[in-house]
Amino acid sequence: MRSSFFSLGCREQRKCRHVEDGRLMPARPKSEDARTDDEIVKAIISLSTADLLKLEKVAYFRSAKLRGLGLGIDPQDLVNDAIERTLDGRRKWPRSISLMTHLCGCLRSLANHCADEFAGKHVSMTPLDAEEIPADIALRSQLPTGERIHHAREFLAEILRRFDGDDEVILVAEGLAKEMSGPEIQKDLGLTEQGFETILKRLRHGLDRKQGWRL
Amino acid sequence: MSSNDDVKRYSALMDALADHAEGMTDEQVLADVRDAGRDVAADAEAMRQSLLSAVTRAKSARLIRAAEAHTLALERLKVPVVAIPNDPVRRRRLLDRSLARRPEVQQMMTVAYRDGKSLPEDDVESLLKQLASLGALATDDE
Repeated sequence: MRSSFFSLGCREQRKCRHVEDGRLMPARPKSEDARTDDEIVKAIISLSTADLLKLEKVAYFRSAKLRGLGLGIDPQDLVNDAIERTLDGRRKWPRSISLMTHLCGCLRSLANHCADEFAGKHVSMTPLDAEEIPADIALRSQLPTGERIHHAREFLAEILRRFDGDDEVILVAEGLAKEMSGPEIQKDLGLTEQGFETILKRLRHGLDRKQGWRL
Repeated sequence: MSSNDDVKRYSALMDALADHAEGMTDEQVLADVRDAGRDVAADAEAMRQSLLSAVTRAKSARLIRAAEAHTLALERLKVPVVAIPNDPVRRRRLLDRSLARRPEVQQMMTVAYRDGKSLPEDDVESLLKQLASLGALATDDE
């Protein structure tokens, strides 16, 4: 009889995912979108060479945004967080989209979240989901700190120095910094699509960590 | 130009470069990396290992959290935060009410609790503590 009582605890624990405030909380219902660890590992192994290199670029520039704001977050930090959230179900990976699309979305929202939260001078890499940013943090993000301004200004100046003499790159970078779209910049500067892509490539290469850019 | 603009401009530039990278075709990505003088295969493999190590890291963190949660749950069992009545009659009534509130627990308990009246007092207390730790205990004054 007694063993039944203990098995109640064990059976209940197996159904529980976590403890909050010392209380065992029931498991979240498994949705159709829930993925197993093995599925995620298999998907990573199946990523193509181009996918992996694209993901590297995306993680690099998403984290470069944060480093330029004075945050010590590197691409691996963002990737770690995106994977952890996918594994524990905080970020759902719908079956309708590829792992690449999912991870790119995670990196984007994590970087935006961290940039917003930084307004409060405190960033945790395991905060709320991006969708759950409290309104007060979002509001504070409109009020950059002196440190944030200093870093951003310094990095903008460094980009200008790095491309000193390459007016095309500087003009394209300025257009992007003004949130102009590619076609708008092309029209403004009288560039063909291919010409624009070539200039953008010079900009990307110049900002590549392996080309000596300090980011 | 205000200081706020510098932050916005820098963020917009990096966002644009990341967005553009997302939209690149496979051919563009491969050519871009080759043109930068990098080793395509080696860099891709390094990224794959980086993703796989992130999985390992997340799984380890999950195991540590689970172990901590288990330890905490055991500690809570030792010190019940809910007062369990001293009176045996009130204890059994509390058990009945608690099980009635959680049909799924009651269902699991059917075999053990088929004849609840015959449960030893020690077992009643132990069961109440387990229910308390699960947050499934009714209040004594319900």
